Amino acid sequence: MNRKILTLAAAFSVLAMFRPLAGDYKFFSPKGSFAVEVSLENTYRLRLPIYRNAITSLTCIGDHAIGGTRANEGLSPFLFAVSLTSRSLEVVHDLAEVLPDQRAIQSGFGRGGTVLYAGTMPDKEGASGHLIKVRFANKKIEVTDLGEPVNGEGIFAITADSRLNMLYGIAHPSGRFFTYNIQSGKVQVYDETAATQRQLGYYHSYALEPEDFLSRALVVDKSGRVYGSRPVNSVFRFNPQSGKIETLKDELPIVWGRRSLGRVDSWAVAPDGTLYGGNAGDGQLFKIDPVTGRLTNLGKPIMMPRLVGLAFGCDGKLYGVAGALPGYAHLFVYDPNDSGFTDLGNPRFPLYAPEIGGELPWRGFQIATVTASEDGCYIFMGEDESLSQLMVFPVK
Amino acid sequence: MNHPHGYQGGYIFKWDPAKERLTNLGLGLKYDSIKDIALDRVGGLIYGVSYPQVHFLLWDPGNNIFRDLGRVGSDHVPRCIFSDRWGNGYYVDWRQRLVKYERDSGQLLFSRDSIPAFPGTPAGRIITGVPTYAKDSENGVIYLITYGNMVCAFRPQRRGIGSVEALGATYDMETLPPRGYSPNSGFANNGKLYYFIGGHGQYVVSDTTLLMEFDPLTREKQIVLRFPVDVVSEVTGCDVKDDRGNLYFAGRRRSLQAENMGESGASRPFMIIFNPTREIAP
Repeated sequence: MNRKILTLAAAFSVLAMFRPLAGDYKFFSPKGSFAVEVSLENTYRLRLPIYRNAITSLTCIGDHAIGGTRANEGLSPFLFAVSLTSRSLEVVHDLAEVLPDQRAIQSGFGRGGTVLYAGTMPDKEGASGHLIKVRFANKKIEVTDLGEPVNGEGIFAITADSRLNMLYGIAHPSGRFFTYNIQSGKVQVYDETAATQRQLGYYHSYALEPEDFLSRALVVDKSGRVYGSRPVNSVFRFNPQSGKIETLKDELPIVWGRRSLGRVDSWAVAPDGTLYGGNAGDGQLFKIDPVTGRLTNLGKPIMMPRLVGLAFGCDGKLYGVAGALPGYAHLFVYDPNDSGFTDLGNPRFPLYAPEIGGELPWRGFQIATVTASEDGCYIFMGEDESLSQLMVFPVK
Repeated sequence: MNHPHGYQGGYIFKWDPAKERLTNLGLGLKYDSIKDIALDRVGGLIYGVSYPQVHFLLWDPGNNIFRDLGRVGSDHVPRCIFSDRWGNGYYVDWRQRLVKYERDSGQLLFSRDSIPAFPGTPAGRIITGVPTYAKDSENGVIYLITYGNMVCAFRPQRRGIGSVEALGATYDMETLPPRGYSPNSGFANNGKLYYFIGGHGQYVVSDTTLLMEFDPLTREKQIVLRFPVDVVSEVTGCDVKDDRGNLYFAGRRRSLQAENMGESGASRPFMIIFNPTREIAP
């Protein structure tokens, strides 16, 4: 009997030697996933040209993903629409046709019904960013210039509350918070969220620029209050009823010695109203109970900094992208009710390129934005590359 | 980066054989390795490509400038980056289109058309691009062999991309696209292109590596030598030629002893020196 057990054990040991050694590098490639070729230099096909296509704003209207891009210095960004059904880029709109001298649409989109709102970053330092209204209908993108909410400053982040007909934003480089009444066009600017001279000195000592410490995203809770981050490593909350800004007692989670990098990278609102956020500094996921204002550190999905995007799927789980330069993206899923984090790894989806006869594998390394389809059944990821593509996967 | 022990990233070094001095020119992309480099012999630029993020990198050691020109590939990092007589640098994008760093303008140019491929070449092979090149400097031609086993003549020009002409398969077969794998080539002083076929499980003759001769003028090809895989199982190295016209390659052979040591030790390396026109003294 013992001899049989020993023989079996020896056989299993031998079998174990033949396990695939490359198993650590299995990619995330779920059935039904795909990538859409949005960018390609020098082509007769409808594509975005090089250095003007980092997908820094992304949302979904019905069957279409709507994106806004960031360009390199001296170049203008685009708005574009990708059809989920045809899995192709259908509409491209050069922002310079309506609004010249702007470099980026990196604010994210605020939404009022079927109308989108975004903010722009100017190409030249000291120039003004504009609020824009974006309407997508009949395979056409229409852009309306709503003017400069903060003179001499760009618009770094934006969100909308359609119930109050309001837009909320963060100005760049100051970090001032502003409100914009969509109906009246009235703008109110608040200094409380801006970096003080002392704080600017602190950031300067670490060679950090406003791009490194300003709140990259804003979110509205179910009662209409607006959340974002402010220097240093703090979370603020704006109450539109009182017009007051408060700083939450709990700071963003830190890794010792890296507090200066703390800021909100992304937000998502859970069905129960809990706010989930990503901290850019060290890539921690956190949640805020809007009733108590308490912030809970949920930990780091992976070892790298940044947590650039979050979106809830129709399965009730939170999907996110952690990791960015100098590393690269890992997709993760967080189940608020059960198993916590699962690192899904680096995404690799098939991309259809008609001229070369088939689907080629596309890996997502640098990703700037994550959003969900309106029904939550698809998650979209926008790349942040010199030639960026859109990556899509279904939620089971 | 994701390796269990971590990885700092690839450095670029300069080796001066006369002074026997090694100079560290610095890190490329943090956490990415450097899969290949090419030299601009006119202006001293160094071109590189990073792995796995496929970034086209540019060093200007004379002016202490490093530029990341951005991602140009997909899931796979093609093996070769190369330069022309004017010092321009070349690579391929995910559609197997030539990407050129044009020194005069300081910009990346993309060819509108892909390097020719045989009908039915899967996209997964297209993205693998050009695994080897060899230069005919006298006639201003750079011979390319694609991962789809197409031999091409690329005629670069100082400004703009230049032309690419398909010359046929590395090995004639009835069914296309042809099989095989040739991550190596050398252009000999007799005006002919030489390359080995075999490796990565892709042999045109079972368990045999072939050394081929290709005449670009007549497009005729012939087998020069055959090697069983326990003698030569795969060959790498492009465009390495000395003043006497000797072509150099890196070879490896299957080794059962090495296979028993695990995945990455499954062969034995050695150097191959070949000259079609003269005897090489041992």
